[in-house]
Amino acid sequence: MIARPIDPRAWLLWAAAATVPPLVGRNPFVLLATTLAVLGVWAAWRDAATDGWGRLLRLGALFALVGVLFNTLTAHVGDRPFARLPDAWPLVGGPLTVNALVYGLLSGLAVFGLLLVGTTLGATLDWATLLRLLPDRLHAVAVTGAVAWALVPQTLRAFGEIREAQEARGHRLRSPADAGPLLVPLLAGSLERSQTLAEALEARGFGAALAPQAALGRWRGAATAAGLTLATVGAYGLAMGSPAFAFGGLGFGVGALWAAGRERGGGPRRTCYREPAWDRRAWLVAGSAGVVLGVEVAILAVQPAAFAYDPYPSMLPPAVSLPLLAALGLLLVPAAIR
Amino acid sequence: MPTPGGIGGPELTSPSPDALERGRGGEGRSSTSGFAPHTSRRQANSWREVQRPDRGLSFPTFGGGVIPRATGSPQSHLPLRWRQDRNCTRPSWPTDPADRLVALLSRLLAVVAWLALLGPDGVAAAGPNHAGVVVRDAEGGLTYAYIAFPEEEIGGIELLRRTGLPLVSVGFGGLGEAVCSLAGDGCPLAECRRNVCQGAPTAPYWRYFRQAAPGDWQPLPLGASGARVRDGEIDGWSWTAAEAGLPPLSLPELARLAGVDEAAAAPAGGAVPTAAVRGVGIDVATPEGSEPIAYVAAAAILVAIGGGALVLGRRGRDGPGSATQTTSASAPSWRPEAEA
Repeated sequence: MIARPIDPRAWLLWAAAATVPPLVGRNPFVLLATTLAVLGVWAAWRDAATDGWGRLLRLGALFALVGVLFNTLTAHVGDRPFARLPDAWPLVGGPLTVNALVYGLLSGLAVFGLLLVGTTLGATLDWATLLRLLPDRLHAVAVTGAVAWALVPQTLRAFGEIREAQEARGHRLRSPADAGPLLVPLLAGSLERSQTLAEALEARGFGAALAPQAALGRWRGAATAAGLTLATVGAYGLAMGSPAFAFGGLGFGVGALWAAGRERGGGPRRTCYREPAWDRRAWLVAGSAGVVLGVEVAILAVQPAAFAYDPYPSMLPPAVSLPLLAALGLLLVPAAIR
Repeated sequence: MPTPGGIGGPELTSPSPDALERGRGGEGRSSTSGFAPHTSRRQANSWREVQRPDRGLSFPTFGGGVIPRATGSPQSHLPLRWRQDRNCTRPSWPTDPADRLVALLSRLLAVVAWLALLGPDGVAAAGPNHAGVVVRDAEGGLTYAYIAFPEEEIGGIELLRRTGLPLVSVGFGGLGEAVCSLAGDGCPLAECRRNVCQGAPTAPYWRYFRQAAPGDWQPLPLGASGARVRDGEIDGWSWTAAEAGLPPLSLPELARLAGVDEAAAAPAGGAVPTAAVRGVGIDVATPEGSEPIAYVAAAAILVAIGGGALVLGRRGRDGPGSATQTTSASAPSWRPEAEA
């Protein structure tokens, strides 16, 4: 029996709620709670045949290692030095501190959490439904985004298949020089897939010139482009820790998109035969995610230190917000209703 | 919270009055409490070489070669009984008390002779250089630091570091080093890495100035890593996005504000503090932590979330569905538009 999918809008809301903590801070309690909850959802919804624990753990270890190495070698700040590299060495020279090591670990955990959210979305999201839910004018953008989103998982899957095939032929990856028999078929396969995809899109009229009566008005096209740009800039501002900048960009971007899509007429039209059902499970996922988002925004407004942790220059115990941690437990709801 | 009258200083770098007296007394001994002797690091190394002749470069000079030859006596008529180990050239200490005394006096004489040879560049050479640092925090509080340094010139960041004020900086490779947090004011390291605390064009950050003339504070756009500080110069650090807001100062005046009587200490050859800091702007209040019971509760919540993730993850994998449906052709969640 195959699990019924949940409405993509509910999944997107859940992903937004799970993405906020690793984006806005490095509090170890918050990061751990978020990662554990997302890990539970991923474990419940994963396809056991393709999504193995081994790959995920290796990925987590890699991110932790990169975070620790980068931060420890470049941030020579803190009251707990444990070694010292010669000062003459550019960039990495200076004291190595436990403070930087801890912050590197937390950064690795945050990146791993974000990646886990993306992996879970990739395993659960019904892309076809999502494309149909978007306004007609954004269809081309949505298709492009879906193709881009699927690039990494497809490449990883292809790499695994090629490696298995080469191992069956006796090939072993012992040094970088042995990577040729893996990378060349991967590159050739990627080119072939992209060509197939391009042909399929063209056969469906993707990107074709519109009839004069269906052409998009100039101001509406400009508003759509500006809205998308502003929304992207706002998301970047959120990731960079500038809330005013982020919410301003997102607000204006959504407003521009709304204004562009308000008026009927113009642009390509698609026929919709069925609409996705917003069932009880979608309500549960969206409701719990909405509660988590609300708590996150409220705590960000009144107690932003609950998300933050800065081990420089002294390592002190991080702040704890029990309501926030309890709310993050609600991110497990999609795992419970599978 | 700023506290009046040189508050943060004593906890951070300023010495106690006793330490001040010891430091000014010129005992010639390094102090870790904020004051150093009126000797440079190089000079201190010279002392170490002299006083530990069995180590390092000074061994061949003091280890048995100079002293016998200085007396003009052949090796076989030495007053001291040296025993050469076959595998080690280090001479053993004489066993006879009289020989020991002679050896000790000889070495002391050699030390004196060595110091005399050092001449004006030696221990009694010119004193260290001095520079000042003024820090203006977010609330306008000023902190004064009077720094002695033996080098001809040092970097601006190094000078700031030697004040002992709590400093968090981040390096940008060849571009230099930026100050993120100073004396409790600033931004976290992550934000500093992104934008050097400048989230908005008008947002304050730690701006670096140098006093060209009293009251003429010039910003140094290349930053403190590239700037060199020489004797008599005064650096300013201000948490601002525009004007420095720093007062006109002379170095003696700054030294007095930092709690050092420069005129009395320096010419006498006595000890001058390596870093004397005094100010009203030092705010190193630690952030409020949570109650211990909160940590226990947080751990319990984490265990609950982890346990829930484990149970639900296993149930999902072994439960009714083993794979997620991603095609919409036969999805039960779709319904005809008419029904909707």
